[in-house]
Amino acid sequence: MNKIFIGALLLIITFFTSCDLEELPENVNINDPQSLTEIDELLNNAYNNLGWPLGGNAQLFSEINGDNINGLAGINSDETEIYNRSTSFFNNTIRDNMYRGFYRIILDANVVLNFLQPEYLQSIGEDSSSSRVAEMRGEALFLRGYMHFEISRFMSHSPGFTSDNSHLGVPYRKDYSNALGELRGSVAENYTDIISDLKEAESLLEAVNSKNQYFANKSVAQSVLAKVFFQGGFGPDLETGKTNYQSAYEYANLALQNTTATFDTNLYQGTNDFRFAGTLDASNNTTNTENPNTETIFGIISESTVNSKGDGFRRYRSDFTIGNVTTRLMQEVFNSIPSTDKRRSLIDVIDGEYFLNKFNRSIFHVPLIHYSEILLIRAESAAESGNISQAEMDLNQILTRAGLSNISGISTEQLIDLTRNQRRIELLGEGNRVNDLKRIGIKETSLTIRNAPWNCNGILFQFPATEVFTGFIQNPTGGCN
Amino acid sequence: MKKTKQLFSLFLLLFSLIIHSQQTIKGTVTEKSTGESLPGVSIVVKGETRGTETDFNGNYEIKNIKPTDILVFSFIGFKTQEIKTTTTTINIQLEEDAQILDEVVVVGYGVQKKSRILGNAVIVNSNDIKEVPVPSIDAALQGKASGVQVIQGSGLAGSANIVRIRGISSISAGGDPLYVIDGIPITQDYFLAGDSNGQNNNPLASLNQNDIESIEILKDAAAAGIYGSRGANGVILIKTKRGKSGLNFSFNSSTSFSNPTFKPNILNSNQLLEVYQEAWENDGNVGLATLPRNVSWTDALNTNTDWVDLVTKTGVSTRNAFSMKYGNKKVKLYTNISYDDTESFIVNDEYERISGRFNIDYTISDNLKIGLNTSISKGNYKQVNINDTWRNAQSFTLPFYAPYQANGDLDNTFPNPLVELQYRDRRNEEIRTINSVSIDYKPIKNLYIRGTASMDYMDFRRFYWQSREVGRIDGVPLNERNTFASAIPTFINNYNTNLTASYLWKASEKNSFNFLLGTEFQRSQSLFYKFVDSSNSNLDSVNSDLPLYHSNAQDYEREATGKSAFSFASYFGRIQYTFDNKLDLMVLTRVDGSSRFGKNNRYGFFPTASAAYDFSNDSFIEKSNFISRLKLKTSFGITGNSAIGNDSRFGAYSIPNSGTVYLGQPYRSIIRLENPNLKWETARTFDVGLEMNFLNNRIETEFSGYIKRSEDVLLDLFQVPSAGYGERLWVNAAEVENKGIEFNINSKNIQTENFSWSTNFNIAHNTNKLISLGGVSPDLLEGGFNDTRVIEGQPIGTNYLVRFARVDPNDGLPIFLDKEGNETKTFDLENRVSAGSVIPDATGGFGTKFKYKNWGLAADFVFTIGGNIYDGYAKRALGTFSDGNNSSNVRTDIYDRWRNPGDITNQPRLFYSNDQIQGLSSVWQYNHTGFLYDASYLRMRNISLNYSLPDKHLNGTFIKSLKFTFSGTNLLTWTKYPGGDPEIARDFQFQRDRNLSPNVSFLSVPQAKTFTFNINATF
Repeated sequence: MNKIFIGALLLIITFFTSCDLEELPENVNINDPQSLTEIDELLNNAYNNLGWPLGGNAQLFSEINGDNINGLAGINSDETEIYNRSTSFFNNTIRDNMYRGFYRIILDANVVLNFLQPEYLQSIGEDSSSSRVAEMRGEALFLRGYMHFEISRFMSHSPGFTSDNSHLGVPYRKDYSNALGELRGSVAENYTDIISDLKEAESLLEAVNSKNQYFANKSVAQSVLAKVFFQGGFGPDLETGKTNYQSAYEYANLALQNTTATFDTNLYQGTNDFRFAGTLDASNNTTNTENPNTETIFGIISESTVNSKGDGFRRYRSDFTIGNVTTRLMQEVFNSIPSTDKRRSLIDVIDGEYFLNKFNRSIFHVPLIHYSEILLIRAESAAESGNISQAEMDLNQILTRAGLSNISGISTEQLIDLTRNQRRIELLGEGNRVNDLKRIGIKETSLTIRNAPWNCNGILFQFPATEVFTGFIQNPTGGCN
Repeated sequence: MKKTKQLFSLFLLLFSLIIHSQQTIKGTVTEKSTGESLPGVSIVVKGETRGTETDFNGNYEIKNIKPTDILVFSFIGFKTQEIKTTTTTINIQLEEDAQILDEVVVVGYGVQKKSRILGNAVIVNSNDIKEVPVPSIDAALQGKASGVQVIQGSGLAGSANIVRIRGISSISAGGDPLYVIDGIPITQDYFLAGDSNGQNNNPLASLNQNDIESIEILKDAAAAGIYGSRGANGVILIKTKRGKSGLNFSFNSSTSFSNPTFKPNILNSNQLLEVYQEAWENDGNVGLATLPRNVSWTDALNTNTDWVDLVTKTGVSTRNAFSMKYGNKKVKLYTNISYDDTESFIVNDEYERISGRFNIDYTISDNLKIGLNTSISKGNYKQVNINDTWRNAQSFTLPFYAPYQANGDLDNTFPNPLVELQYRDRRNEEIRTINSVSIDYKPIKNLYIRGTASMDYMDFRRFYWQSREVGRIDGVPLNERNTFASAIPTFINNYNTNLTASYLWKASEKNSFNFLLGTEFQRSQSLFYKFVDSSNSNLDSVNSDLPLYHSNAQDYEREATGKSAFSFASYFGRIQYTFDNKLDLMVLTRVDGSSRFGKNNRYGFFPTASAAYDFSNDSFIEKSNFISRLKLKTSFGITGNSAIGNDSRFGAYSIPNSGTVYLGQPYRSIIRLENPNLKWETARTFDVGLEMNFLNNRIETEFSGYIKRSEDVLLDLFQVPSAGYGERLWVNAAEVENKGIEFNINSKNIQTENFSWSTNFNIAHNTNKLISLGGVSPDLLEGGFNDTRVIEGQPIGTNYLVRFARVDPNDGLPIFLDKEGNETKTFDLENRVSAGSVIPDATGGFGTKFKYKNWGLAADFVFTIGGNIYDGYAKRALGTFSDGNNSSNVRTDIYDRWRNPGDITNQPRLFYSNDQIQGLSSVWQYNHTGFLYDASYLRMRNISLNYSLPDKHLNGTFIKSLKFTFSGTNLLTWTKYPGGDPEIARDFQFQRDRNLSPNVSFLSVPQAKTFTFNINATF
């Protein structure tokens, strides 16, 4: 009897001591990617994450920062800080979230770039010279440059704010394994990095993405380059020998020539045709019949309610009960649209308040870059560069579709003003306006945005407190009220 | 073989006694206070060696007694009685001897005579916690032991408490003590239900108060060191009841009525409109103020909804427990079944629990014993969201909002608490069973081997459901109206085995040794699931017309969402040396290994050494009439903490599954970077203690002091947002120091036959300092709701605020101090300084007990001295109004405000808009010391009056005892804090919040003020 017990006890002891205490996590993978397919999945994550900042939030915050939104009602307290142009470093959750959203995509891109290095590919037995590897590299560089450009527009002034662009930009992250902070680069450094990434992407990308038609291609990189140079606007030349508008014109022109997207003449014609297209079928998936709008050069695709990418835009919806956080437009925006303009029907007037109805759907695809936008960049850049006929031609496409009469022979100044005005209406709610104003203010220094100087300190977003470490310089605050 | 010889000679002896018999005495020995029979009482004939012992039913029989003989009845822990043998039946009631210190208490992996304990351990007996229902057993410890700070969660049903022993030494890792029930370290995850607005899961709620025999708190290294890496925050040993000789039944039933200790002192409709208008005009506006949501003044003036009243009620709770104890020579059995239904004062907030326990000890042979403990409980926690009810009712849901629209539907265009109450259903269901089997084996004399295997299993399910009605009243198109039904099950399986061998070696008359060797292994595995709609597997919630716990709800597929496990192995040894019952020396060492750390740092080494000298037998004490006991003790030890996530050290990528596709392609993401160097957080503790008793042990005191230095403190760091990672990175970086002194005194003031009076008092002072944060920016520890932070040189949980100086009598504007201390009217967060701390200067408790014949009266008080409460909501409740439509109601304190030039007050003038205060970018930033309060309070935790029916009324009935208790909890509180209940455990998101932010209030739910009527019967 005793021997059995002692034996049993010894057995238990052996059981105890033989354990090596290794518990591997099961719902995560602790190994680096083991194939090009897995690296591709990491790249796909970057595209999927586009919906995080750019599924409506960044666009909304940008609009609130500008002069299209009436912030006296319909925005939450964090947004009120943006509206008041006094974002503080402290706990502005929505700002923090958007900021990190952009850098999350940059992280994904950097992870992909890291594993696409020839040595790593060889170590997992993949061919580092395949065309897909080059294209993936192009996609990652494109996303890295594009996202840095987007976040820099919130955190820093446009090129030209200082004569040598020495004013501070954002940290330009190129290393995924650095969990610590990095200092802000100057805007000059930022734009050099952005342009270099995008140009390399342009050279690596194909005319049509070999994996998926909605992923980045050559014309997408050219479109963003057009946007970058256009933002550079009146600042010092970002590319030697050319004004920024000349560069913007060239890239816009290339993009419009190379893209498969087309100008959508059916828009605003009362047909069932929308820039933010997409509806649900009975099983909560987007219908197969409604593809992204034909103008989409690059966008985010909503496949189902679970992976719906434009939720941030729901804040505008006027077909729901108008609530505490239903975004309102400025009356002045409504008034600036002539009654003959078909786009006036994009605004609902309810109980004396103005609501944008262009997002009145439960699910839709989000065109991040579309034909009309690049067309307007080409028009304005052409006008700024003295190519009046091209500017008039492009602008007349927009005007015709809106039901307005064509123009010809007006002064350059009038042409530019009209183009700017058309950008405001055509891109309403898409997060462009304040960036245009910050660009224009470089030249027209007395410009105001909602009664505050265009260059007042608080117009820039403040960096999140968690970004700050010794030596990190935050944006100056105040001055806008 | 030797044993057989001994037994044989004993038989011979008994046989010879029987031959010479003259008279046989019989009887029963019972315990005076409880009436329960006492087995094993020694009965000897005075002056002789003859004697016997009572059997398991307390009966004895002793033969060959001459009428002149005197019988001596003695039993450990009881007063010895000498009785003349005048009759043949002698029934004896033995009385507990409080002066005898040598009771046997549980220590880590064994038992120990109390007088030989080297460490600092406090025992709370079941008698002290029996009759007063507490939300969970850890709450019963409040005020009972010096240096044990218990902050009760709230009055919510099943709410979780914060227990901190000897200060806070961890920052990001869990700071809770280790809970060990009958030798089993139990699962204690406060975040099973995630961050749930102050409604975190309480892992101790499923334990039944009625089952507890005693709770022991191990505070210092000498006591807790044997638990090695898990002893750094102290250990709480819980012992459940076991069978006793005879057959006894006990029935306990109570009914309680509870209300909040504090009703929000907010404004009604007319009062609010008045201050609204004043604020409006103060800002330079004219006409009638624009009301939030564009409510018209006519409607506002005709509406006055008491929202707090709509979400609160008197909670009625009932608790019933029935238990049985049985024992004979071989078997001892304890079983209990109980049903509790606890309603809090919040409407729809209710915790129902049915639980059962079965403990059995079986003596197989003289040297082999087997024990089995099993318990099972099912808890149903019906919840409401506290934000949507209690908080909104006194803040964003204004009295001039009407609950219903004109068409009779609820109005959901503002945060209407009735929507939560009527259309949403939240419930946590928990089934928990803790089982263990133990074998005690004594192969040779003085060698004791004990093996235990246990399983602690928890099935925890969170349910949420929202009715389609919400869509209807929101005007959502019919085909887009959904219900949101979710069920998130988590299954936790926690195995524990341990094996110990101890050997007693009495080397000589005066020198004895006690050796212990042991090993322990634990593995805990959590499995996470969600329910999915097979027709659309991508949804986190499903469309169900009924909540998913409902038996008629449609069945959905269960999909695994993850698994997490840790394993833990330990080897330990202890040697205790005793010289002449005076000097005790002990060294112990424990090696712990945890799967949470990488190979290089997996094992930690945790040694402790301690010494104690008892002067009680020295002549100067023996001669003294005043001092009756004097003992000095000291220890030094290293303990550790590994209360972090199981997978924290691993770098990780997500694994694509069918649900994660973008454009038809699976995606995977990098989740976090790896930290292969992650290692144990360690604490070095030095302790001294002095035990001194006076006046024949009627007054007992203990005085102790400690220094505890924690190194490699684990930090769960935010990575800078531009790094892109969402998950945090765990590092060992900080260094924390706790120093403290503790004192307690218990005295038996009066002890007579009919009347007794005793008192107890304890107090502890702890200073806490963050020595170093290892170069990490404090902001990287931020995030979450906590308004406190860690600053080098300051205590953990420092209130970091802009200083409020005064109100300008001329214009009523607030004046702040900048960093240099100059007055400024500009509010700038750059001017924040360390302005206070959530850590009190002292905490403690005192109590008193009176007993007169069958009546008893007891009262317990708890107190906190110093420290700060930050009222995180005062910025709205005493601040500005406009925040879009999120206007908040305000407190009546606002009546002290500045109104006219020359007014001297600390309440600034009313503001409509935050831009009236220069630099204030949002009303939510308005944190300043004007809302920082003294946290001192004194609270009568409990007062109870009991009456036991005298025996004469019970004679002839089957009832042995019947006791009625009427008690009141939290009836009286003295505090300087105007914002509510001064005892605050806020809505914690992380372990860090539990460490850093207890005393930060945000419309926190107060404690309950409860009246309870309790009946206890034994038969």
